[in-house]
Amino acid sequence: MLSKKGQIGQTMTWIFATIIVIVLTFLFIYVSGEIDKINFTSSDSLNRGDSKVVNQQMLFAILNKEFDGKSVSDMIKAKDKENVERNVKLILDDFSNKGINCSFYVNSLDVGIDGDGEGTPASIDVDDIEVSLWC
Amino acid sequence: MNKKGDERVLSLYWFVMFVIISIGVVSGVYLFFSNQIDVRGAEASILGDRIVGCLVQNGILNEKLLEEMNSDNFEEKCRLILKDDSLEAYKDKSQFYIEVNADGKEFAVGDGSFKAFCGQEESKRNIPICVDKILIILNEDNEFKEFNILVAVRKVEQNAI
Repeated sequence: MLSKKGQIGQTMTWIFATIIVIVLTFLFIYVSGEIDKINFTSSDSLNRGDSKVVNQQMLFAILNKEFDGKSVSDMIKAKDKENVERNVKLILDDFSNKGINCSFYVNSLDVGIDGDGEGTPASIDVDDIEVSLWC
Repeated sequence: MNKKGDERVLSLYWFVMFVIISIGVVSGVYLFFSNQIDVRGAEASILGDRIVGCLVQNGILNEKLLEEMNSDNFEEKCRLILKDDSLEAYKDKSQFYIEVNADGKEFAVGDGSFKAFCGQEESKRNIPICVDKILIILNEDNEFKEFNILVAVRKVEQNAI
């Protein structure tokens, strides 16, 4: 009798162990399947062609644009807020007419021109003044 | 004798357990890794960035380089290798199409038939993916000019099947 009780106890242990293993196995398969559905790599912005490189080159173009022999970056270095604001607004209006909406921001001069820009901002420092553009 | 019987029953359980766990692990790993990751959009975008970096320096179009450039010497001038030998089928057929339009000059490299699929990526997966980059940069005369690049990458077998 004692021997039989021991056998039943051991069998029950194994049955529960098997059930737990089966449950964990199905849980593992289910979680693997769910993780598989998550799209880790494909990003909409990449597929649209947005990139920091494009914004960076356009920011360089704006900073190198000259008005009466003086570039926008020279105006920023001279902290000529009025001219920076007026000329960059003209540039962004021109961009907008060509179908590209951009926003421009100069940190310490408190210049912010919102042209409905989207995407990853590109920033560079002009004499320790942070300038950003996003299109 | 009884004890020997117990061992045999236990080893059968062990075997069943081993089979269940093995099936579970194999199924889970297969499910996770069987998903194709489509990186063609990223690949086309990176290629587009490289072309921008090749022709535009500090926001100013390199007009001299653009003048010298054509469909035949594009890879050499931009230090790009567009040949893909990773699959036998790719050795004979180009997997890229690049169209550059800068300051009135236009040229194209690769398989022009991919262009017809651009804008239809939503409808089917097994067609080339296109990335269009439009930027405005300065030419050497201090004038803003539009610069367009269209990059199409096919590579359907590696990404979408």
